[in-house]
Amino acid sequence: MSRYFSLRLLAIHALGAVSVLACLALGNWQWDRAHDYVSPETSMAKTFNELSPLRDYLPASSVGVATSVTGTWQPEERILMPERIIDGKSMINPNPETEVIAEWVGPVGYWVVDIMELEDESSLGIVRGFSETPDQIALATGLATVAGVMQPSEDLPGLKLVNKIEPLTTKLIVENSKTIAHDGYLVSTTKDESLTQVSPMFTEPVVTGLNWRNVAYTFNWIFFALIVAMMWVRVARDELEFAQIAQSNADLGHDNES
Amino acid sequence: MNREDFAKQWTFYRIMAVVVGTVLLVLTVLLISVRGLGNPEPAFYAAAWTAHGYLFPVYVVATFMLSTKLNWSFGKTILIMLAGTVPLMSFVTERRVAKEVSQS
Repeated sequence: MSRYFSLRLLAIHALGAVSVLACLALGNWQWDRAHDYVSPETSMAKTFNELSPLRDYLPASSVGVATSVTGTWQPEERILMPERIIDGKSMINPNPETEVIAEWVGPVGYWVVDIMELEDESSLGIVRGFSETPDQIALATGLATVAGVMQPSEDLPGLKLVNKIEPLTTKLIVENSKTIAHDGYLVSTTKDESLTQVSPMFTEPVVTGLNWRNVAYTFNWIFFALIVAMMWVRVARDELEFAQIAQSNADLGHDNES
Repeated sequence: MNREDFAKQWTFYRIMAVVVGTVLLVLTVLLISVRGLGNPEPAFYAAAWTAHGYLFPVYVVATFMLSTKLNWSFGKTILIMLAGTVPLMSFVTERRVAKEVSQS
């Protein structure tokens, strides 16, 4: 009976159980991400850190949600995004399979992106506005509270801009931030006399149904859990067989002695 | 050890090591191209990563089955399984295992 409770076998069971549970937990996490969509009303009630968790992607449900942040401007970290217009939606390529060259009627200039260090010392890229002459825009300094709308990194899968516009990506913001940066960026809706307010690309969550990539990863983890369970059974069975053989050999030796 | 069984396990492991190694190598090159150099994602990019996610567990099974035939220690088995997550490493381990098999 003791062979069922040997230290080695208990360790095998502990490792097997932890591994299977870890795989299932990761599958559950992917399943949650596949169902990321919640109504904008629900998202608006969240704090900024719930809306844009650090060290994670900006949840699809947070895109287009209005929020406000308080922090200190980092004037030496300005990013200028060229060849842009005021209306963000018009810059989205409706047919990402092909390059689209759009003729714009309005002014073409720069999006002025300044980095704000928030109270928790994380950094956030904020599109303060549009300008044709960004050199004349004073650098933002000091403590400020800015209201705005959260936007995803513009290298979001499936998103392509017209006229080969350079995308404003999280990577670019990270490279220009001194501290850990949030994914995505905020388009300011706070009035600024020196800049024209930019209209965000997304005014509602980009994913409104199941995210199939995460569904595939969910089943991937379930598949992994099954494989780990199979290995667990096999190793435990082998261990029992070895113990049984060792016990039989010991019994035989004992019989021969007596 | 049943030779026919072993030959099957050995072939299964070698195929999976090469397949996983090749797919991971191609994906790593694409990752550098997309993330490092800023090139656009190819159409099959996301699907290929998902496919790799399913191929890797099969490689793990192949490694585990071979480990039971060759009586590898737990640590060695895990290391060879993890080799499937490092670009080029599955080719290296496949060569080392081939040497081990030819000597046994």
